[in-house]
Amino acid sequence: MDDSDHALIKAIGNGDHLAFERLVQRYQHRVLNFIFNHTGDRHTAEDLAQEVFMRVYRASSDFEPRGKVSTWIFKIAHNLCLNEAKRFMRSERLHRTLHAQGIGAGGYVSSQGVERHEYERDLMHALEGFPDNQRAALLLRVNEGLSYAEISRVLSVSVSSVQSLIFRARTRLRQIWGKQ
Amino acid sequence: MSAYLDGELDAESSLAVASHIEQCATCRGNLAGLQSIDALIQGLPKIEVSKGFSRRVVARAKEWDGLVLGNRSETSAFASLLQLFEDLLDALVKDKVPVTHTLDEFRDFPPLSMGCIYFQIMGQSPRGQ
Repeated sequence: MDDSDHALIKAIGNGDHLAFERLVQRYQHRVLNFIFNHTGDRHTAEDLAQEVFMRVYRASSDFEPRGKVSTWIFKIAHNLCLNEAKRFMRSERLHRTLHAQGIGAGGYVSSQGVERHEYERDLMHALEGFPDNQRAALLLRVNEGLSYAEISRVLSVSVSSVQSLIFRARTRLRQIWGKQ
Repeated sequence: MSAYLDGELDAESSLAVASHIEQCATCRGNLAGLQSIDALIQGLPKIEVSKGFSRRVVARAKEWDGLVLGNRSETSAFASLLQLFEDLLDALVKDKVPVTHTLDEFRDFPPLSMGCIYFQIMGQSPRGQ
């Protein structure tokens, strides 16, 4: 059986659950950690990762075979991370309002569910402060090994923008680290 | 420098940067700095996928298939029921309403109905008056 990503997507489009499970197993670790590095929360990352694969499943018959499956999956994951960030900002505003009114509700704690060393917490904290596109471009390059062209498709920006995003992210991190 | 590190420069530019780095201690330091940042990011601990994750996702997919198929069969059942109802209605009214495809069909309409008024405006009368 052809085990390539494209063959699996085609089989999934025909309702093959075994092919779907194989694709999930192939990407689950990368997708989960990509989302986790955005959200800093294990449970949210797992929920969103499930949603990524469900979207892949539902849209598999519409997949354009010219593109790479991995790029498509990371694009879905990135879009879900953006939605989650917006949802979090809304709830954060609500929490702050409730807190100001003495109704309670604690703030968001970074990296929930995972023990982290100090430098890792600092790094995560620094990354959280980056614009979404900068953080995503850097993580897709450094951790996932995507090329600039692939990242440009994930983020829907030009290749030169990707180059600039990654350069700025690295420079900024270096500045932050240089001060420590 | 960042694009050089990622192997995204064309061969000529890459060669030019490489030969410059060999001679320039500042740029060598910059490159090493960028590499150490990458190493820090790669060194972030990874979380493990919880047990049974792929099985749970597949179960959700099967559930979704069930919903879609269920909706399709419900739609199809509703369409069949609607067709049956229309056929029944046709059979009931077939003998009572004359289908002449002429203005005679308006014979029993009230004089002030829209149909009659229309034909009066058009200079015809469904009642043959």
